[in-house]
Amino acid sequence: VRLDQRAHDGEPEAGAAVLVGAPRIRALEAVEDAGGSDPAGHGRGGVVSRRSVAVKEAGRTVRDPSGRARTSTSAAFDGGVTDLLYTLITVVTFVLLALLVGVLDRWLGDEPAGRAPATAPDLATEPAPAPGAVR
Amino acid sequence: VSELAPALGQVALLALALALAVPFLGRFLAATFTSAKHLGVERVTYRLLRVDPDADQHWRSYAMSVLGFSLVSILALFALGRLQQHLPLSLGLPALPSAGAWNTAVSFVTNTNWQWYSGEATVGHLMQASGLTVQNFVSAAAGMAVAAALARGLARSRNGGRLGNFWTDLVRVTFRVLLPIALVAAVLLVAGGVVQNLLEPQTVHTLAGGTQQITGGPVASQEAIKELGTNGGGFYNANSSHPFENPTPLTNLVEVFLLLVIPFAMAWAFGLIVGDRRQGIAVMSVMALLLVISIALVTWAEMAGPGTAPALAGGAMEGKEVRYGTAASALFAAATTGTSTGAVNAMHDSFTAPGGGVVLVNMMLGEIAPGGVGSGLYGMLVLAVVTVFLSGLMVGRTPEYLGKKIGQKEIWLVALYVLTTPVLVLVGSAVGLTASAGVAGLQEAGPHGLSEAVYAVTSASNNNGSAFAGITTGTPFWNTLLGLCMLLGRFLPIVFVLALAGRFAAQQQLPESAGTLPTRGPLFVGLLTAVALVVVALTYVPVLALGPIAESLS
Repeated sequence: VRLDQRAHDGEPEAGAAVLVGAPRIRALEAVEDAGGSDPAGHGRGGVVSRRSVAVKEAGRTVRDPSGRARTSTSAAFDGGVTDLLYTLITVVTFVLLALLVGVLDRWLGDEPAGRAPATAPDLATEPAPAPGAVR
Repeated sequence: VSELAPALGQVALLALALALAVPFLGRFLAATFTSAKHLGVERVTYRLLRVDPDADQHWRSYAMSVLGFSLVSILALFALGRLQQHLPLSLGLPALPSAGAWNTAVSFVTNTNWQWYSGEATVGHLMQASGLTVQNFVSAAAGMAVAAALARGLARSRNGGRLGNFWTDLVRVTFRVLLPIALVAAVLLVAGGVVQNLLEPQTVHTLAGGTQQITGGPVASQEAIKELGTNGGGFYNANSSHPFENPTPLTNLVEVFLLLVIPFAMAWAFGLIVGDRRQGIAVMSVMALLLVISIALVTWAEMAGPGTAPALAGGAMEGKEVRYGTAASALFAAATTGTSTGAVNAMHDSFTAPGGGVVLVNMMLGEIAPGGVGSGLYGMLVLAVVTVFLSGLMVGRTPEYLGKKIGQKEIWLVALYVLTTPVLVLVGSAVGLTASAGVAGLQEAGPHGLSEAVYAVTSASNNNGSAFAGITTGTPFWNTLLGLCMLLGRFLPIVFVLALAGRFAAQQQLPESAGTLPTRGPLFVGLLTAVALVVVALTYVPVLALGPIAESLS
């Protein structure tokens, strides 16, 4: 990617931090998330400069030219209510799964093990069909 | 220079390595799951956990143990993420946001390892090493335990639905299998150039005069189990395309080997557990056949990518690392989506439309080629039951598998298993593509945008974890939606599989008769392969037609 895209897009401006590969793609996504666009107009295959990535910091996640991301301050710790909500979602999901286990156990447990179910004919005990016979 | 020769060469080398390792590891796994002896370290662990390792659990108790262990794991990992800033080795990083911490906790406990975040810039060393890496081990072990329980269910006769002991399976797999192999693999990776330290980020000056922060950390130790346990969560944002995680084509091949070896070995172990090695070989053959088809298709699509630039570059090189090239990227992509790994060494969003479509289909298959370390085997065995049942209906043979009758209730459980993931994928995708908060995350419009959303939900629901990229999922909406898909996509099938295993274990094992469909020969391999493909085709063709197929034709 590095060689091909360099050849394709040309060298970046002097002093710019060059991003290649996935960090470049993600940096461009961050720019687009923030409402900006790649000033060099290279699109996803282009070289991203430090300046282009620092367009805005309005997004939830901000990435700097090294490809690192940091969560915005407001999102860093948003209190106990959401924590409680996600804990509740988890516990309720597992309680429902546990109930499902109980329901299945009761449903499966009402039939003696090994007895052939009514809907599955025991063909092994039937006489083998004659060759070419239509069942 | 044509890449065809090295492409074929790496596949041949990989096949040789697997052929040598799988029988040996399969025997070892079978012994691990059936041995009556406990190691000293295992006894200590049982004492700490206050469990009786010799208790033979009913399927209900086994399932409740899996669920209880996973619930505690999620809550603990969630707390670790939310309290990160107060913990040592956090590198000064703040707490993860609630939705993100929850998504990450669910992701790693369900063996999905979907990452909405940039690892090196969001998660400190403590959480990486003691939270995420630990889950890489135990979530893989839990999946293998469930597969072993199903194998035991098929092997046992009239024992009241008892499947062994979850805690014993979990501890044994961790101590006897995953830890030793991961240790050797980590050393190999360090020798190959993967970093392993506990340093703070280093600031360096580039030749162009800029500055750059380089983050090190316990990368090799996570990388080894990341692949071995078919986890896939990268230390770095760029995952296995990052030179610190996967520096050379050789480490790339080692990583592909690691992510394939246990799923194939589990099939071998299955044959030994049920007392008929050829049963395991038949299952393994289907896995291998599907994987080879997938590798061939992705490699062809990426090497023959349309357009002038791909033609000049010798392949569709966008989103790929030149140090691997198209063939090694295609091999990795097929292997990581054929298993439930989800690690990437190339950006799947940049794949050609057919190539991206194949990796998507790999996940839609339920990741049975060869699948996750445990989910691959139990997913394939469920399809084997479907195959036996359908074949029985077609030709009038007795619907039984390994001497166990496939009756109404067994088929109910199988149907619930088979339908769970497609329902999650299709409903989840529909929600993501209709909610404004979901659409806001898409980078592209049209068929490719649809593929981005469908890929994300498919990856989460099948517990793969690979990202198509191009979609911004670090939002409360996507974190919650994908988290729910991961939770239900992991544990609903596990409950159905364990219920099925209990059902089989309670049955009497019937001897083969003239009416029994042989399940160890080429005919069965062909039938099982066809069933796997038909089930996917019937379920997903409409959404595939609107996504990658439409994009290919446009």
